[in-house]
Amino acid sequence: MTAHVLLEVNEVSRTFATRRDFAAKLASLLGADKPVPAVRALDRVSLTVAEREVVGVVGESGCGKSTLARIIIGLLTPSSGTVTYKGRPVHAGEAQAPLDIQMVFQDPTASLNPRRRVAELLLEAPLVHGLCKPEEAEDLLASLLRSVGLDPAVGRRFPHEFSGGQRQRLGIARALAVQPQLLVCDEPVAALDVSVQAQVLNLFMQLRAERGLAYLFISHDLGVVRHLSDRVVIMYLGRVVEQATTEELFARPNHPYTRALLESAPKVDARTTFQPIRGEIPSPLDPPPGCHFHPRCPFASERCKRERPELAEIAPGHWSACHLNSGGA
Amino acid sequence: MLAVLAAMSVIVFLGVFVIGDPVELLVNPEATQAEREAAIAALGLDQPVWRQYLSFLGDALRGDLGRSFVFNEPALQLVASRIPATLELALTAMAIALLFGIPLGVIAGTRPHSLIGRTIHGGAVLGFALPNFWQGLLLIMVFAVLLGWLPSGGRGETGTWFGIETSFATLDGLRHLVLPALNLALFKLSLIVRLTASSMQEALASDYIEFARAKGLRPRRILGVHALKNVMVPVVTVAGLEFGSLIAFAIVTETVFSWPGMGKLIIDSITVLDRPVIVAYLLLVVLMFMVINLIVDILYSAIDPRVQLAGSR
Amino acid sequence: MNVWMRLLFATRSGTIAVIVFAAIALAAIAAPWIAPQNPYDLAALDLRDARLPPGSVGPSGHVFALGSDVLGRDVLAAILYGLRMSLAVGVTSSVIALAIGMLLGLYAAYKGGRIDSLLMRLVDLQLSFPTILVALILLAVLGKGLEKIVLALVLVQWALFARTARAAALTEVRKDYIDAARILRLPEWRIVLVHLLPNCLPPVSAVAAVQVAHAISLEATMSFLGVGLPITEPSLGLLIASGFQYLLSGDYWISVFPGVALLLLVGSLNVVADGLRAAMNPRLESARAKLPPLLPESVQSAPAAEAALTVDRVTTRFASSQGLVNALNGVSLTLRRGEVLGLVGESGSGKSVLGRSIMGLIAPPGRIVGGDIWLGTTSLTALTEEQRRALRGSRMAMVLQDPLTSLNPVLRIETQMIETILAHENVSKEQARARALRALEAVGIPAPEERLKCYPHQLSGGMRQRVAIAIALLNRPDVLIADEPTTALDVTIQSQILAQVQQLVRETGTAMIWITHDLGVVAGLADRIAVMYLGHIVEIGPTQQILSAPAHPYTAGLLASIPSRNERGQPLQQLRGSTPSPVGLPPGCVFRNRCDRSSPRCEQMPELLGTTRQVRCFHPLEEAT
Repeated sequence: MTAHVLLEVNEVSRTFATRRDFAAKLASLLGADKPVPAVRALDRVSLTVAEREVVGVVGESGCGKSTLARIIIGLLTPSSGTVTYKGRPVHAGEAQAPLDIQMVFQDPTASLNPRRRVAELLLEAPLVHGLCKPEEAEDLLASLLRSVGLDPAVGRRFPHEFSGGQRQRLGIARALAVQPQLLVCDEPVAALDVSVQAQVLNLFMQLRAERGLAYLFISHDLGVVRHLSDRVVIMYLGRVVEQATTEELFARPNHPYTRALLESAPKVDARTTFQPIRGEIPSPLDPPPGCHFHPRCPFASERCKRERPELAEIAPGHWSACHLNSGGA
Repeated sequence: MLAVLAAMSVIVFLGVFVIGDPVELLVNPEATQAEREAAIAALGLDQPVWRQYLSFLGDALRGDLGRSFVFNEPALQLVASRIPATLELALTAMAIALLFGIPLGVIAGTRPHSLIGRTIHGGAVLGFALPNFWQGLLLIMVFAVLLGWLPSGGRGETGTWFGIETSFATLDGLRHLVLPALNLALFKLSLIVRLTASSMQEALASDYIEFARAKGLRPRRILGVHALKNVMVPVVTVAGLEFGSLIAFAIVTETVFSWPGMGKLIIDSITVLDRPVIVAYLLLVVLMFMVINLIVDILYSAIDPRVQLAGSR
Repeated sequence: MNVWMRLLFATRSGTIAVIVFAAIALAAIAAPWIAPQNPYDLAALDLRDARLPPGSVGPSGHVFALGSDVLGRDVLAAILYGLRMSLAVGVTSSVIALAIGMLLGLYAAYKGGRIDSLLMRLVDLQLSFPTILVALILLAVLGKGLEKIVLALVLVQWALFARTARAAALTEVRKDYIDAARILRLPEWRIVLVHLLPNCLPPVSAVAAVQVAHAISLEATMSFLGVGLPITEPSLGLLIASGFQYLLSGDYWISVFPGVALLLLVGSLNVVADGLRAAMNPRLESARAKLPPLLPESVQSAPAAEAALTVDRVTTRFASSQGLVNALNGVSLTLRRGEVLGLVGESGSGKSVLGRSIMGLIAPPGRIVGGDIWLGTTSLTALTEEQRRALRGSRMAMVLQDPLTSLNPVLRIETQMIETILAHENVSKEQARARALRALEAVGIPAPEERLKCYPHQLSGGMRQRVAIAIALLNRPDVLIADEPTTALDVTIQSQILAQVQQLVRETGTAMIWITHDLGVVAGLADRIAVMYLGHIVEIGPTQQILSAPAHPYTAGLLASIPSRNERGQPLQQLRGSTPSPVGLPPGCVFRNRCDRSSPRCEQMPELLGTTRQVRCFHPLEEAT
């Protein structure tokens, strides 16, 4: 982790105001103005991605991982906190996020404009930004397609003529066209068939080796994250609850939520009996006070209900946000 | 909501202010200059626009929208006196549209590829296309002229129910009501048929219907409760909102069938530039629309549990 | 361009309407050259020709094919000129309104926020007033005249285009390709015009066809009411109005023929729009495809009594626009009483179709074309639909994948539970309710009494799926088919539900088929695993054997590609290629084009061999037993 820090997310929070419904409108019309409830999608999240590093982000619905991705690539601005890329702020005024953070999406069908041919899809951005001259476009197209394992002769085709896995390759090629250094991948294999997932995961690893790419790899699939990542960040209801190197995290999970997650994940190799943790994932609209996880935690105490545990380094490079680590609950 | 009404009063007033010069129409062309000026002063037309608006607004708040230039009656009263005729026409038309539209739509939606389904759908597309006034002429030609079954126009004999004059009270009144109501209804009928049919198709393709079938429910319950209850959400909403447009579309029907409602009055008033009546009509119609929208909002949250609940959590 | 052709000519009525409209439009455009007279050249008219019936020759010697009007004008000529005017007014106003509305709508949807809400407020306000009223007021204010009516019609229409374009754009804007374009820092105008606009055109075009018709109709109406075009201009509305008073005396032609022309024009446009809508609706596309007839009945003896369910060579087909989909190709399996079978397959494997085939839920355009299904010793194909209904929900039940959509949103939980009991048993409502309450308790729902009164949207996804499971188990079925019920749920919730279901089926002795794409889920749940690929069961056997020693190369490939079976950071073992389309499959082993072990022999279809361990392969990794 001594390599250059590429991306630094520092204490980023993001709240969304919810839309008022009819009843609330009626209430405010009658003078009973309640404050509009806000969803705190991200709550002081910090993380870094170094050059050539793969950071996995794991969490269930409502944990804020997609909001985090959208903030990092500049589609959303943080409510507070900063995101810097190579030391420069990503959200500074009019200056937009740099082109070398790109994204790979979950749904390979929705992420390709159905009315554009492959050549247009891949070459539009490099031509608009002057990254390649029109006369070099042919060559760029062929090399892009080849680098994602597609036939260089498919430039005239439309996205619907490809299978799901091939479409995801096109999405990756489009991101590569502007020579990014960091790829934010939001569940990039979740929509793919099992037999195709491995192909795309292999492509990610191959591109990392060839082009020195760094990834922020968001997934709910612990197996995938474990295989690919150097470091793993676990999120729960808008907060980072634990982060460590992959080996450390899977060998010695510290936070009770991380442990629950690891135990809940279906495994092929052992006939397990299911030992689930109790309770529902609370609504991000109304998260529990103190530690967000306390209503479901088998070790929760009074302190957990009142006080938010801060992320603390419990071993070199291993951070966890749990009161159990600081003098017990 | 009051802001909308206030804004509308300005728009309506200014809009109407620009319409021609009523003096030309009202004052005897042979009148002397002095007589003309007296008439202008009497109508308040010599004041600047904003003064006219303020005095109009002040009067409006007291329920006085001026006197009709033509009938020399208070405009508001004049328009209000025509409301029952228009309302009974619109209500009858809406009843026809719903009574026939929903069952036809259900048939077309459940069997979209059958002959009957396609016939209903085709009829609805054409019914949607028919220009309303021409369709009225056809109705008159067929039922009044060729067959002679029904009167071609007018309101006929009315009776009084609870102090309101209505055509429902007499047979002659009802006979006069049939054609105009039918004419007004046909367009909305087509709309309801199409909406019901497409909502029905959507509902039938949904997971909850598949699950209802997997539960072994009888087809009648699946269709009549599970599908229909969901179909009614958009249908009731749209029917409510469309009621306002029925009142507006009554203009055409009332003109074609010489029905003495608000619509006929507004057309007559526009041709003679009877400003206070036009203003009174527009403000009343705007008010009616707002009331209708409010009722629809309430109705909507009553039939769709997803709407009312979000707030009470 | 071919996209539009396909949309326009997708339906038969649409094709006819396009032809009718084109013919009318051509005649209207050519009016000055083909009309028998110039009806608006007053000097050419002869008052002696007034009100002549169709087909008569007037005193002036002119032949009036469709009769003449009050001024002695040829009705046919007046109609052609009127159509020309109608089209000009309708098309011009709609095109201008479309351009304005489309740009505003797209920009609002793209920008969102304050611009969007402001614009939409304005649009909603205008649309809450019926077009006819707005047009009437505008024309009353503006006065008569051609440019004035066009202006009024533009003002009447722009809002609807803005709303339609915005709605279409909003669905597009939420798609990732717009985000991708933003991330690629493409200029804003380029995203809106190059990416957004073309994808919003189809829905807007259907509205545009209706709007041209509406504008034409509105012009005619306004002119009829005397507030539209001045009488010196050709207009169908004015023509009809001029004949109105003679209608009662029987001189129908002055009003009726122009009306017919108007109807044809407006009607054909509406049918074109309807065809466009139908063509854009994917649900309707497959309706016309033909299904094959039922295969000849094979005579079978009743299966052994200890089997809860026997699926015998079931073949299911779907008609689609691409051709016949071979969803199931002779699938056979047996489910013992109380057994849990994991049915594993990728998309297109037919696993869900098998579940629905068993339940008898295959509806057109799909059909079971061969084989038989036995519930215990009852043959389901021999029953009437009503008899099958009586078994569904009582002796066999099903849970669907998406808990958010499988419960009816407008009915309370208790209604949806009680009706399931009452559909099969003659008990009182109170008894049924008490049973529903116990069922909710059994699936681990806290405060079940309160939940009964809830509507589905008040519960979380996990809770809704528990409710669905409770409903499925209400009547203690022999067989439960669970179609990926935890796929849409979070991992921690999934594991809760798996534990609950496992306990429940053990208690009730219900046999279960758990359909999934995730081998990990069934590893801990199922007694046996069946693997499907392209409508065939390729392998079936005890869970441990399948997972530790797969016999079929496809199963082996799937298992080998799972990350936890590979060394961290090293390339994963992968299956090559992707699943081919189930339409028009060549004969032979369906997996052979992706298989490393295939040989010329695989041009033949292998049988599913073995008894406890069945494999459909000529070159299995493990022998069948």
